Parts: sequence; structure tokens; C-alpha cells
Amino acid sequence: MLKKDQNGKIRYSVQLTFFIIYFLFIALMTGLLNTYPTISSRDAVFSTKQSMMLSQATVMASSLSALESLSGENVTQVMELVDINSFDRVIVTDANAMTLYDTTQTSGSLGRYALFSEIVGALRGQVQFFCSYDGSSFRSRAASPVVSAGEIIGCVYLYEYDGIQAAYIMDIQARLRSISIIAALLALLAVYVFTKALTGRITDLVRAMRIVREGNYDYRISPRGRDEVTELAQEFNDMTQRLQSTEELRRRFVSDASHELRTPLASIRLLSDSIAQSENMDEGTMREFVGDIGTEAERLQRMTEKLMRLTRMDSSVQTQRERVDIKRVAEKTVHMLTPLAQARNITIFSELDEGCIVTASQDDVHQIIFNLAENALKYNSFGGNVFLRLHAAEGTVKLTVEDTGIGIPEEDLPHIFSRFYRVDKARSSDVGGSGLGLAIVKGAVEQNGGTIAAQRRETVGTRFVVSFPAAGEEAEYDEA
Amino acid sequence: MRLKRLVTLYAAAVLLALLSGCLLRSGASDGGGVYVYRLRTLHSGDDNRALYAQLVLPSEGESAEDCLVRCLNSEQGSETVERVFPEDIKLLSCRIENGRAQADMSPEYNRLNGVERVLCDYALVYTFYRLDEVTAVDINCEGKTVQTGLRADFAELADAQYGPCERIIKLFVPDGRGENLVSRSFVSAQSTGSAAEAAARQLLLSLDEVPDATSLVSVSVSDGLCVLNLSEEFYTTEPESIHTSRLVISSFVDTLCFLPEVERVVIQVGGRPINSYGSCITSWPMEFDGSLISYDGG
Repeated sequence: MLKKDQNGKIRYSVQLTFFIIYFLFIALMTGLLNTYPTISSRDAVFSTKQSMMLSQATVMASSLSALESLSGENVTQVMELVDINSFDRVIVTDANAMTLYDTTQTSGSLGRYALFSEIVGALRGQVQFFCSYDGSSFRSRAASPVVSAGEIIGCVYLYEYDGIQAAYIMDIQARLRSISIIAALLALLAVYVFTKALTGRITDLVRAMRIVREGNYDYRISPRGRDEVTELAQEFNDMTQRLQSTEELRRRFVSDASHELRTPLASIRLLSDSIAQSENMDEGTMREFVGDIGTEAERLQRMTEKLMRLTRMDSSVQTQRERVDIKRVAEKTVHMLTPLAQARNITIFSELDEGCIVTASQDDVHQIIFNLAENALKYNSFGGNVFLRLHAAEGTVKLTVEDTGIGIPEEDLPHIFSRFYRVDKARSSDVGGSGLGLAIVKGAVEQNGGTIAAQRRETVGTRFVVSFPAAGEEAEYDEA
Repeated sequence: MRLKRLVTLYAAAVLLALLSGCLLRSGASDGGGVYVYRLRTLHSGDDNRALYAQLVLPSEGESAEDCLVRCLNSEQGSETVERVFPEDIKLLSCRIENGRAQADMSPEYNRLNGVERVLCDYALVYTFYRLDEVTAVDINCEGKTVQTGLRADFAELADAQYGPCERIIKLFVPDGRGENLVSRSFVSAQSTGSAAEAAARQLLLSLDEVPDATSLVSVSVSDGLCVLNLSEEFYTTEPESIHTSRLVISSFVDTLCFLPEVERVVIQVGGRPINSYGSCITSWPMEFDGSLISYDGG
């Protein structure tokens, strides 16, 4: 039950801890069970004996109090009429504690002074009682003064030895002890079985964690029972499932990133090799090749920047948030994209309400609007339209970006925010797309507490809806 | 090592307890200490004594008698015992003469009566009776003898049925010169048998003149007659002289007859009364003689 961890320190097992706690508890209970009834019984016997013996002593004293003075003869006559058989010794003394009557006359006590504490106390005017229990018997003593005409003329002393009551209590004690031992053993056995079962399941869980830690994300444990440990096992399985999904995403992302980066690099290499290996390349061709190298390099640069941005989002680095007027940002963005729109003869329609303030990063908001608006222009038909609407209602600021372009097939809509996902690779490559723009938009929206959704327009094109909580009414953010 | 130390300590404690027990049974004093009887205040289940003995040590140069007088008068008490004399009563002095302790009390003593007087008297009696040389106590007040010849045998300190109760027994044993008998106090726990049996056993241990192998076969007391039956080994050693024979016989007879319940003694060996012991002719029963007892300390 005791093991050592990696640092050599003793590690206590749950089973041992439970076992010790239960053992101590059971020991305490059995101790109480064995002592309290015995003590109560003993006290009850004490009380009974006190009342019985004192009343008997008082009765005898009352019988003797009719005598004016006590002598051996008259005391004996009176005591013959009284029931003294239940006592092991009965002594009657005069006022000086001299023994006048003694049921155990063989001791030679007649005529001697009985200097017992009870007799002295009774001759001083107080009834006395004392009882002791030594495990095998109750030994009780009582004394009462004999009063005649207001004067103490003697004393009655009683002594009783009772082994029967003691034997009864010892019998109860022995039975309780037996019951306690059996109950304790059964309880300990149950504790052992229970803790073994509990720690067994926990051990299985620990073993599963070690397997998953080594990289085997397929491993699952079978939850048994319906308690907290079962819940823990289920949560472990869920977490492992997520780990597995995340790992797959990571692998795919690395694979996709490698592939995307490799393509422009391969182009650059091919073009540079062509230039290097061609001895008589004409200047125009060379300029063309160098231009292509520059284009690919730009694409590589853009992709790298987007990857870095995504990495920053993944590491949850918090950017500074402030109150941002989305209308102002949108107007600036539209102004920046106007040359692109004019080049493709696309008209941008803006309906931007005042007072659409959110708490977000200024840069992120610009990125979001820019990416969505740029996509709306890039993937639009020549002479098409782009609609930009901004409204605030019921504590939410909603930005809608619509285009009249080629649209996104329904089956692709759930995936368009995934990294490197492109609906039409050929077309997106033509317009310089890398498949990361919408992933960046989604990341930026969610990091600033908003949501984003993509829909097909009822006629043609695509609609993107971004919602943010209005500034001053948003819920608390979790600080990473 | 620790176990060894514990065992050693335990053995020492047992030895000390045994030694204390032996000293207690010798009765008179323990390592120079003397016993004073005081009134018991705290009662327990062990026994029901009203008077309780406390061991005290005399100061340097203080005699046993002076120490007892001082302690009996002392107001100093404890949780279990207190002074037995009421406030204004004092023991003025005490002297021992011819085996009797003479206790002189203050005049206020005469006002005491009933159980209070008895408690005072027997606190004095038990205290002085415990000294070896004392065989009786006289109490005097204002020059008059109020009580005479008091002995510890005249009282019961506690109910022997309830538990062990000490009883002070006087033994008359030969002195160091083998000339006379001197008194010695022996305290027995009454539950171990009758006083006569306890006295006889102690005498067998104390009398060098009796062969060590001699054992007590039986002791019985009935109607004042005590029959002491010794084993055959009693005859294995002849006494040195007639006087020695007389000392041994007188030791048994005087000791047993000094008990209140015994008036006459018959000594038997192997169930038959001894007709002679050494050169001493015996006739039975014998009564208390006392002619060989010397009270000058021996």
C-alpha cells in the first residue's frame, strides 16, 4: 500500500488512507459500544443499591430508635425481627462506635470499636453509602444513625457483596465484545473490498492516462458504475477524443502548411534554376521570370504573415481591447479597397449605423472587415455588388458583408473557416488566396467575443454575418 | 538497549515495592520513619478505614516519640488525611515506660465524647502501639489517667470482609542476648488469615532457635483455646539450654495469649501435644506468663 514516487518519497495510497480512517472509526465505535452500556448498567446498579440499602438501613435504625439506649441484648432482640439475610454483614454500634451486634460474630468484633468510615459518618449524623465495582462484584456499604429523642444513640451498618449483578454485567460485556469483534471484522472486510474496488478503478484511470500520454490517442476506458469515478472516466474519454481530434487537426495543419509553403518555394526554385541554367536567356524572359519569383515570394510572405497571425491567436495572446467604432473602421476599409473595387467595376453599398461601438482590438476589427470585404471583391463577378451593413440592436452589433459573386456550395459552407480550406483551389490561387483568410477572420472574431456565420444568399453570392456584444453590455471575458 | 533499560527499571521497581512491603510488615518504622494515624477525608473503593497511617520521618536529632507528638498535633493535612484532634485539643507529651505509652492530653480533651473521643483515643493507640516497645497505651489528662491499657486489638480499623485490613500484632521474641523476650510489632493484612495464624507464621520466621524447616500445620481458636500444630521438623534441632527452651515456648504462648481472642494455648507437633521441649517439661494448656518479657528494649 506504500510506494515510492520518482523522487523517492513515500506515496500514500488512497486505499491505505481509507482503511486507516475506517479502522479508527470502527475502533472508536466499538470502544463506545463496549464501554457505554457497561457504564450505564453499572451506574443503574449503583443507584438501585443505594436506594435499597439506605432504605433498609433506615428501617433498621427506625426499629432500634424505639429503644432508649442500645445494648447487646436488646439490639439482638430487635434485629431478630428484621430481615437481614440479604446482607453479608450487619453491625449495630452504640454512640461510641462500639459493636453491640454483628452478624459475623466469629470475627470477635463484639465489644470492639468499629472505626469504619461509614459508621463514623453516621454517628456524626449523616447517612452514608458507598459502592464499588471491580469487574467481578459489587461491594456496597451503607450506614444510618439511630436517633432516639433527638439524640444519636448508635448506628446501623450494612455490607453487601453482590456477584450476581456483576456476573450479569460481565455477561453483557462479553456478548457486546463478541458482537463488536464480529461487526468490526465484517466492516473491515467490507472496507477492504470497497476501497480495493475504488482504487482499482482509479488505477485503471491512471494507467489509461499513461497510455494516452505516450501518444496512443485511440485508447479509451470502459466506464463502470454510476458514480463520480464513472463521470471521471467519461470525462477522460471525452478529453482523449478531443486530444485525438486536435492532434489530427495539428497534423493536417502541418501537412497543409508544408504543402502550401512548398508550392511557392518550388516555383521560386524552378524559376531561379531556369535563369541560372539558361545561358542565352533574353532579357524580357529573364525579367518575366524574376517578376514571377517576386510574385511567389510575396505570396510566401503573405502566407507566412497569416500563419504567424494564426499562431498568435492559437497561443491566446491577448491584444489590447478598447472601445472601437466599427463604422469608422468600416469606412476606412471601404476607402482602402475602393481601387480594387473600381478595377473590377464592383460597386460597394454601405449602410453603416452610428453608435455601433464594441470592445475589441482595433487591429482585429480592421482585419475582419478587410478580409471579408476583400474576399467579397475577389470572388465577385465583374460588375457585381458588395453590400456592407452595420446595425446595433438589443445589445448586439451586427456587421453583414454580402457579395453577388460565385457563392459557396452548401457542402463547403461548414468548412470554409478551416485552415487552408479552399472551395476552388484553382480560382483562389489566381486571386492569391491561401485558404487562411477566413480562418484568421473567425479566430479574430471569436477572440474578441463575437460570432461569425456564412450563408448562401437567396439569389447569388455569399453573406457573412459577424456579431459582437455592444460595448458596455458584454459578458465578462476569460483572461487567458 | 532500550528494552534492557526498561527491564532493569522494572526489576528495580519490583524490588523496591517488595522492600517497602517487607518494611511495612515489620510494623515499627521504615528506614527510620514512623507511622502516624490521621483522620481520613477522601474515601475510595479500596477499604473503609476512618483512620489512615502516614509514614513520617523524624527530624535530625528528634526521637520517635517527639516526632509522633509533633505530627499528631500538626495542622498540616493533605487531600486524603487531616488532623484527628479537634482544633483546641493537643497531645502535650508522650513517654514510654515498661512497655506502656503514656499520652498526656490538654485539658480540653475531657470535653470530648462519643465517636470523636474514640477516634482521638485510637489514633493515639494505633500510632504508639505500632512502636515495637509499646504493648499498651494510657491516656492522661490534667494529671489523671482517663484511659488505661488501650490496645489496637480493641478496635477494627476497617471491615475485613470488604478488603484487606491491617492489624498490629505484638510478637514476643528472644532478645539479642537470648536472655529475655522483647516485644516487636508486626502488621498483618487480616484477609490473609486469622491473627493467631499470622502471629504463628511470623514467629516461625523470627525465631532463630526453631529449625528453618519447621512449618505451621494448623492453628485453631475456639472458646479462648488456641491449638497450634507444628510439623515434625520442630524436633530436628535440640535447644541449647533449658532457658532457650523456655524462651521458645514462652514466645509462642505469650504472643498468642496476648491476642484478645486467645486465653490458653496448646502446642502440638504432628497433631500430638509436646510433653517436653529440650529439657523443659511442658503441661498444657498454658496461659500468658510474661515473666520473661523485658520492656527495656532488649
